[in-house]
Amino acid sequence: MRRAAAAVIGTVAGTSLLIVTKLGVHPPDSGLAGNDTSVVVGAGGPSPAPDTTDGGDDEREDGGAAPASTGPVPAQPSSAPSRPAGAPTTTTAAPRPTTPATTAGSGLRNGSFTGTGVKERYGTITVTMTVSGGRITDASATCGGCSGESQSISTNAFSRLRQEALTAQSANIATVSGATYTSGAYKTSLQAALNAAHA
Amino acid sequence: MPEGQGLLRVEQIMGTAVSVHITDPLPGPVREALAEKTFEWLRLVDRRFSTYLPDSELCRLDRGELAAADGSDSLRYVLEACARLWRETGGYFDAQATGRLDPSGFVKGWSVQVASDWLAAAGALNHCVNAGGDVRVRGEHEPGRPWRIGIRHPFESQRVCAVVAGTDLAVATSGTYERGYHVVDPLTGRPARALASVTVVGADLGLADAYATAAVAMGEAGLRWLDTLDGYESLVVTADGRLFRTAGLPQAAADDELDETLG
Repeated sequence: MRRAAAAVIGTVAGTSLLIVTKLGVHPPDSGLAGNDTSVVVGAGGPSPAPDTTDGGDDEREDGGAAPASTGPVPAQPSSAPSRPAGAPTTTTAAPRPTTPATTAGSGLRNGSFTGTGVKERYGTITVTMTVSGGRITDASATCGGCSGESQSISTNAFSRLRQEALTAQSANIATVSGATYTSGAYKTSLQAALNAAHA
Repeated sequence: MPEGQGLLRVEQIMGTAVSVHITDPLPGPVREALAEKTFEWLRLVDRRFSTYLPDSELCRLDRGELAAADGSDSLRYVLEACARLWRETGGYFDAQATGRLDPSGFVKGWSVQVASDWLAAAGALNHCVNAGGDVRVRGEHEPGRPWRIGIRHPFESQRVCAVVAGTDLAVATSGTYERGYHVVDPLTGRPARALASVTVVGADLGLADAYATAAVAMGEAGLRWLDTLDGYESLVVTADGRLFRTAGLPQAAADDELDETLG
C-alpha cells in the first residue's frame, strides 16, 4: 500500500514537471490564480508520506521506560503527542478563475493549469498546477481509479513552512540546540562557551 | 543579566556533553542530588544502548546473544518506539539504516525527556537538560524569563540562526555539519545531504529527535513531511542555505524587546 502510494506520488511529481515544461510552451485555457505566495515548490522526489493506515497500536505503553532498579525512577515518557489520524495528503483547492496572464522571467505563465489525464498503472492522474510570479506555487493531483489514500495527492506548496532569510545572530540565549557534537567537538562549541560563562 | 543562576553541571555521556541546569530556588545539596540522579540515569542509558560498548544490551541483542524479551523494560520500550517511528515516517526513521541496530536517533532524545519528566516530578520544575544539542526545558531560566534556546547556525559554529523560547519545550536538531553525512537515506542506502539542519520543536524530545533525523534522511522531501506533523514545529536550513520555518515555531522575542517588556 505504501509502496503503491509512493509510486503514484513519485509519478505525480514527475508528471508535474512534464506538464510544467509543456505549459511553458502553450498556455492552457484554464484560469489564472489570484494566489501570490512566493514559496518555491520543491518539485520532484517521492513523497515520504507516512503510512498511517495501520494505526491503532500507536499508544505509548505506560511504564515501559522505567528503569527497573535505579535511582531516578523516570516513570514514563511524557504523554504521547496526538498524531493526525488521516493520511497526510491534502487536497488543494480547485483552481481559481482567472484574470490575465503575465509572462514571468522564468517563461512560466501565471495561472492555474490542469493537465490532461495521464494513464498510469494505478489510475488516471490529473495534475493541477498554480504558477505565480513565474514560480510554481502549488501543484496537486487527483487520481481517478485509484483507491484510498491515493485518490487525492497533493504536492502542495509548504503551507506552514515559510522561507525566510538565513541570518547568523549572536543572541542572548541559555542553551543551544544543534546537531550532536562529539565530546571532543564540545570543547569549541557555543554550548561550552555558554556553560563556561555560567560557571 | 546575572550569571551563575542556579546549578549547572556538565558531564561527558553517550559520546557527547550533557548539561543539566536547575534554576529552582532549592537548597544547593538538593539541586546537586537531583543533577547527580539525572546523570546516573543517563549513564545507565548509555550502558544499555551504547553501540560502542560490546556488553551493552543493545550490542548483545544485535549479536543475537540476548532476546528482547530478556532485556530491560527500557530496551523493549525503545525497540517498540523505533518500530512505531519506522511506520510513522514511511521507513525514513530506520534504526537499522546502517545495517547495524542503532536507535541513537531516538534514544538520546527519549532519555533526556525521561530525565526531564523525572526532574519535574522530583520537584525541579525549572530546568534545562541538553544532551549534545537535544534540549528539554521546563519552567524558567530566571524569574520572569523563559528559557531561550538558540538554534545553531549550520555554517557558523559560534552563532545561531534562530532563537526559540518556552517554559515547556523539547528542541531537537539533526544535521550534517557536526559528524558529516552520517544520516543514511534507508531507501537508497546513500548519505542524505540536501538538508544541512533540521530542528523539530514540540512536547516530546524522543519524537522530536526521531522526526528531525527522519527529515534529514528524506532530504528535500522532508520539508513537505515536516509540514504534516501535528503538534511539532520545525526549522530547516537546506544545504544550499535556504531557511524554512513553520509559522507556529515559538520564536523568542528579540533581546531588546525582552528588555523593554521587563523594564
